[in-house]
Amino acid sequence: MDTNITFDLSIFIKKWRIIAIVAVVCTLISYCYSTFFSQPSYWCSRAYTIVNNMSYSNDEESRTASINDMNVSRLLVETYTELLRLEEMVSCLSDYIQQKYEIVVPYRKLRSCIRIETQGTTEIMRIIVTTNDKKLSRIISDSIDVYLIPLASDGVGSAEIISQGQPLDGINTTSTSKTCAIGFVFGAVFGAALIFVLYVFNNKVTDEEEFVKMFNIPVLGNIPEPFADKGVYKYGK
Amino acid sequence: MVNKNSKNNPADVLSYRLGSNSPFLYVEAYNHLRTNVMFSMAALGSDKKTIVVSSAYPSEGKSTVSSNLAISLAKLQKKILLIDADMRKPKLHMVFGVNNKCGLSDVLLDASIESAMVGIGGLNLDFLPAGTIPPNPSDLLGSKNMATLIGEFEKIYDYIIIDTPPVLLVSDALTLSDISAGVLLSCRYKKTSYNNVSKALSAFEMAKFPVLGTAIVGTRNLPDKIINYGYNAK
Repeated sequence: MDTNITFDLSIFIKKWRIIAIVAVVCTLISYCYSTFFSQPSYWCSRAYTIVNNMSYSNDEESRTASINDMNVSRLLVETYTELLRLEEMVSCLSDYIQQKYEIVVPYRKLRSCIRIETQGTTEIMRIIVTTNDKKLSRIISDSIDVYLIPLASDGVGSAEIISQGQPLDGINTTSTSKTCAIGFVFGAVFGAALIFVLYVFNNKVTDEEEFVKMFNIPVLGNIPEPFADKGVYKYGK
Repeated sequence: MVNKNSKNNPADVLSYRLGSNSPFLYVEAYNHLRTNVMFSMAALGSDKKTIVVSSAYPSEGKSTVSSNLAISLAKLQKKILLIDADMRKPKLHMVFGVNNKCGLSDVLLDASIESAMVGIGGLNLDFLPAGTIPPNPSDLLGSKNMATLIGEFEKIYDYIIIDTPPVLLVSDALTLSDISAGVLLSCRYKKTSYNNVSKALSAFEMAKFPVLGTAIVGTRNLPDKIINYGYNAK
């Protein structure tokens, strides 16, 4: 007797209630998370330009920048980026903040809240500090500017790091509608995946039509549990 | 008649026995099964009146189906014989509250039919319990005595229903292929796997045993139309 178990896409339509319930539940969880649990984060950003002092002569009239000078500057940006990410540098920064502001910021947290970005192939480097506290973000950013940048500059002789002015502050908040939408989509996909897995791994007799399709023999009787309708028995009386 | 919580009867088949207090949908389901079985037998064109009820594995409702199908057929004023051919783990005698001291196995070993047969009061139904558990049930069921016995019964009864052991455990049911019209396979909702059904049907196919159809037992989806229609057999 050949059995041919095939996956029928209409199972998703039949079980649409399960998908809907899971999607709604995930949406509610997302809403609760974005409303009650997620906290805004505050960022403070400073941009720096890396200048290769060897490329400039003292004579202002003959000051030029060759392509080679620009390439060197870009390499310096990468060097500084790696330098600032060193464990020793971050550790020094943590000690400085503790001494000056009497705030303990653990090394791991400090490392995770600092992000250094290079702006394409330019000589510009941006340092962004993100924490849950606006004041702390500013303190760390100021500390980097005042202490860490000069410390890093000492390590590379001919280069100079020039700050690009005042820092920028901002706040990142989670969008409730966006989070709920993501939750809904995730829930729908998860519900569909759940049905798929249950269908694929369910090899028990559950559906008369499927049974007949599979074995080509008639279902002569569908016998319910004898007490299944005890709640509605009164309708017949 | 239906005693759901009987402590004297450990077999819970008693609570599933068709009776005057059985729920409407339960009774109707067996009436429906009865009609389909009768049509299925007629469609096969066999002159035999014997139906074998089996399942793939134990606890899939075959004893419940065989006893209730017999009761349902008996309500049509037809002479019905129910035989418990599960001589390894007999259960049907508990459904009807009779003892199992003398039954089919004893009759096949030359005991008198009258000493073994039990008439079920109020119905056109006779019941032959399994009897003493023999060492070789399969041999007894496949013997000439069994064929002769069924042949004699078919002269008297309109329908003979034989409850047999699960076909994937023992081959007892398959030995009855020559003397019956076909087999009714009992499956339990959400318990019997498609693989097991496939294996059972393969076993019947190998034994050239016609399959009348299947009965799915224990479903929980009650059709709303019947509930709201308000009919209730009393």
